[in-house]
Amino acid sequence: MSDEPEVTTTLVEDVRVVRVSGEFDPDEAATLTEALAVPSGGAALGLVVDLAHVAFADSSFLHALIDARLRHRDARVPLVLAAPGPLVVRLLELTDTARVFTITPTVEAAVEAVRGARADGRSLR
Amino acid sequence: MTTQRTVTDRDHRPATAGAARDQVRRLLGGAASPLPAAVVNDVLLVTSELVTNALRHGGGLTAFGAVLGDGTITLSVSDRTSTPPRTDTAGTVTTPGGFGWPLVRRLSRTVAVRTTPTGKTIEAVVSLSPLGQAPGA
Repeated sequence: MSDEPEVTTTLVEDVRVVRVSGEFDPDEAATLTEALAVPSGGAALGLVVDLAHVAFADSSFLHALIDARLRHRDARVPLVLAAPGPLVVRLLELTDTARVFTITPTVEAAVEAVRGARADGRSLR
Repeated sequence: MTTQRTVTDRDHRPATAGAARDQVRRLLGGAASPLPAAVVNDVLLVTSELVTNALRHGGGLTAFGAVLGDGTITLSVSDRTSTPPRTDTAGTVTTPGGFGWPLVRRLSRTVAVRTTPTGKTIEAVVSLSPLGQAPGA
């Protein structure tokens, strides 16, 4: 059976961490896009997308990530992808999109990367 | 020798991409030897993209089939539009969109599109060997 898709948002050291888990289909794309919205009014320093528990993702999932990346870049808010498993890495590589994201092996490293980017006043990719 | 097993017939078509993946997963689970997770995932990705395309842009899924061959799986997906998939709108990093069809092309050994006045059938043959080659080829 398919794993139910789940999105959990927590605030870690003023960084919004969105954990996505399960299998994602286009029907869930709107939920995902909403969860990956740019934090408004300084509600968070930036966004970390925890990909460790993604059980399946296709091009609609990739579209949501790229859309979020573009909106964060325009708002000059850092976005970091954390802990992608082999299937997400493959999706990014097959589509030649890995290079546009900042990707870290762990959520902790991603939170640090967001905080570091804000402290430096520079914007991550 | 070719072992053919069909997962579904035209009267039992899946309602969602997830249901189609479950059917293909079950079919692959019955393969002669266990397949690497990466191979299974590639097949599921092609399944998902094809079924999603039929549901979203093809006016609905009219038939779905999956057949295990000798080191390959053949996926056939039919919908209600005669328009072939667009190949001129591949997504880029700045303009998301159109990643699905290039993924299908990339992961399949062959992709055939057969159109009729009432719709089309896309048949994708995906290798079940990690190296993209049929065993013994």
